[in-house]
Amino acid sequence: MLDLTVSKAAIVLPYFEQLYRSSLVSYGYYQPFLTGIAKIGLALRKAELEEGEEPPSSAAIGEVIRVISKSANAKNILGQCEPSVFHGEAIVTWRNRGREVSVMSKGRVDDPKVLKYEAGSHPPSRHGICPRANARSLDQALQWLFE
Amino acid sequence: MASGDPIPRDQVIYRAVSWGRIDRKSKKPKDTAFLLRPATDKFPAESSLTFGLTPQAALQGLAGVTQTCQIKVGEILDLGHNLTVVENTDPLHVQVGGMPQLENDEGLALTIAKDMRQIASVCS
Repeated sequence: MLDLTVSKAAIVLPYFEQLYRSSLVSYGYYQPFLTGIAKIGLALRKAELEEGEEPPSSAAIGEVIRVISKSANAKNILGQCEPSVFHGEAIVTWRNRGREVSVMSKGRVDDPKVLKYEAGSHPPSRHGICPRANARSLDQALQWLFE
Repeated sequence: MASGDPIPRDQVIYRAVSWGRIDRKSKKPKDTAFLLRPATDKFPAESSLTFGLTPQAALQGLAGVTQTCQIKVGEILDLGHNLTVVENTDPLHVQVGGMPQLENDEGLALTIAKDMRQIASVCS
């Protein structure tokens, strides 16, 4: 007997995949239907660039997304982050009071990196950077963010 | 004043911010609005950030950019990173220098950018 569930999925999934990737469909139209991780990936891919600015590579975005998607702490606060790009660098930042945690990658050998930043009441502010970051590094940094 | 002269601490200076460098939720500039641009096909690498003495001066020559933010010079100097704020060759513009390129020191470049974002306020 024909398995309708499987056959329907086989027909429908490639369509959605195509729709998801299509630049003809505006970000605003399908944005509410995406998961938190997908929204971050899309925001990094569709970020507005300045004249002459190179977009982040798929590898750079993929590294940032991979670390976030494997971090249990990050998954709980996906809606609170700010995705941004800067000349090939993909950056995702969380803030809490004077502290900030950023995951960033440009696809270099020591990427992705996790940056911990703390604005002091007496300047200068402090920072620490963790190269070749993984989900554990991000989990620890986000735990520090909310301490 | 002449080119290279320090700008008084109580002077307010303005930076043009493109839409891509503004957070859509808070409407405030992102950290990336205060990072030095690396060399591109069209432009050489920046060694300092350009500000204007007025919002109009900040936007001068920038097609499609309409937003500016403002910072008091004294607040930049008080950040404690040995930044300099000096007059440009064009007397309507100001150069803020002393920060590294993102490529050279990601931690410090992003930290200074975050500090500057915190003291900047968006002009209405």
